[in-house]
Amino acid sequence: MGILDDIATAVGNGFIQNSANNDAMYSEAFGFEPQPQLQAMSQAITTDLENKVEKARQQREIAAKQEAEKKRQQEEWNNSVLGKAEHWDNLEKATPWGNVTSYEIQQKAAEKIGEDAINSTVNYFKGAKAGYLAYADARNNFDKVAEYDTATGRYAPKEGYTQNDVDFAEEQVKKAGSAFRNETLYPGAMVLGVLGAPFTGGGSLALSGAAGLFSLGENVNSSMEEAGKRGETPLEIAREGVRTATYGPLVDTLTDPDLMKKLGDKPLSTFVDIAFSGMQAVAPLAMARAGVRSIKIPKEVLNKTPEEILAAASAYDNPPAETSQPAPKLPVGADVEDYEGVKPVGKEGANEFVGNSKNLGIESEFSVGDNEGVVDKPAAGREPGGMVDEPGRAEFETIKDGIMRNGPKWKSDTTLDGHVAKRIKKEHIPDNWTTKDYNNKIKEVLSKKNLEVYEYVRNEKTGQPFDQKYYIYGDGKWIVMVGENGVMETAFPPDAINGGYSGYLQGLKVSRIK
Amino acid sequence: MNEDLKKLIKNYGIDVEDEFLKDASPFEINYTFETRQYLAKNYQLLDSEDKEKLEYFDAILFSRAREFYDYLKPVGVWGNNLPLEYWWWHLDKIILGELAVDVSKKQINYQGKIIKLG
Repeated sequence: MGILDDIATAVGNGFIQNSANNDAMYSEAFGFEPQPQLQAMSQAITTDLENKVEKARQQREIAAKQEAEKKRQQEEWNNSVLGKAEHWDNLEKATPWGNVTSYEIQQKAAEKIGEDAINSTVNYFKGAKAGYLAYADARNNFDKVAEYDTATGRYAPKEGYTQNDVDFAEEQVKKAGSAFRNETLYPGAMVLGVLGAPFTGGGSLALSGAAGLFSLGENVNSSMEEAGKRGETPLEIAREGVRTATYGPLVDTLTDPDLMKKLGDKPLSTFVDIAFSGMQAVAPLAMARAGVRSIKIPKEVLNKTPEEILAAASAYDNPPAETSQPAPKLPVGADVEDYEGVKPVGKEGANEFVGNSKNLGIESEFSVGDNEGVVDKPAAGREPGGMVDEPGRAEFETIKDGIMRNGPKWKSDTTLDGHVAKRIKKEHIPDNWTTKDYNNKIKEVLSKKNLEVYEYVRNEKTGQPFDQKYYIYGDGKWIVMVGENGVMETAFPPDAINGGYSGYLQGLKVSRIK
Repeated sequence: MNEDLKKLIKNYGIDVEDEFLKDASPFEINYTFETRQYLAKNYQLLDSEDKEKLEYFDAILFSRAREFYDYLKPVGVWGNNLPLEYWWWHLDKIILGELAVDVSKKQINYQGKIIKLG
């Protein structure tokens, strides 16, 4: 409709309402019966106007919410180490690494190392945050069901709960804590320690040995507890844990001027990038999944962002049966000369690192430090896919496991809000559902016994392949679509009248794989 | 049946009026277009009010053709061989000026050729 139509409608509506008002007034004054049709029309116009006003108000509310979220994210970014590290770029330009002389510059350079490392792995912290939140959730749940009994010195069930509830909640806390430490913090410390060995004389890092690594456990826990007491956010707490396990000792070590000069010849950010790429791709398998004896890393893996690698690596849950393959090897000293002009680092003199994983609650031994890394040389371009290849474990299973363990991963919080708002509008979910309820619904679908899984790789109408493969999980009513990168695409129940669940899948011409 | 169709129209409207398209999944919008196709096939079952609403939402989609075209690019749907009557599958032609839609007259103009809808 054009604006003239709108004006005509408004004038017409105004006329009707005016007439209705007059009708009501005169009928009351002179004792006539009001004209019901006119009154009904007037009421309909009023209702329509009210609906429009309400709709506009709701839209403004959503817009304001999204704007606030954007602002919050921007502020979080501004306050992040990435934002604060900006001045270091200027310092680096003014003071080449090879000419570091003054104590002040050394100090700043040492800080730079810490910031640079964090800068390079800010996405890694997001993974750490997720791990910490899972742990915190488990703790909160435990606190709900259990209370400390001073008489027995044990935790007892609160009113309304049983000892089984307490035991189960306690087990969840242990699992979440163990997963967080073993899969997030310790691997970081281990790989960075090994790669840092050539630069630090091998022994100066407190990280390059199982005993040293194990001794960090208490420090990590206490530093995180301190951060919690300071009221820091989960992200900050997680960062503190990582810092204690990795950068803290490194920064302390690198205040040595001679060492600074050595590092001046090496691109530190590259060193850290590679350390963390290796860590995220391999360490969760080598350490936390010590039963895995064969590790193959597709070339795409090291071209992925830390966040993507973390998502892929952390998706591993059930290690396959032990085989007679050689012990796992980390990509220490991997041939990195072809990495888009990056110099090789950590290749020479990387100390052999043999750790007894029992210290970390893992049963078998592992060894790292061999220069014959099992990393395929990465291609210059980035390719889709490239999950870490765990024999016997299908990719769709690892993605599902990741969602069940860490919750669905959305492109952004705003995206998730938008999805929930739309599901409510379309009456797919109750109007009081939160993002948490929606995420739980997704997990509920994935946990169904009758779960079906389909692969969706190309457009059904043109045959054009997508940039990545998608997996569609379904329970006969709802579909949950996830990219092979582990990021949620959508989840909804297809409309019954339009073919419903099966009609939807048939329309996409997808292949069922489970 | 009629209530279900009304719901489909409502859902179609929710998507074409969505101000925050970028937060939706392009695959979900793809499904919305499937919904629109279903409504086209069952157009005769719609009452006059439904038809009016559909016309209104179609006009919105037509006016946002560029936006929806861009958003659906990752789905790889453009360049398909579906009938032109299902004009929402041909937003690529609309933004090139090859295809025009007159929702009130229920007709499309494809390179000078008029095709009646409904």
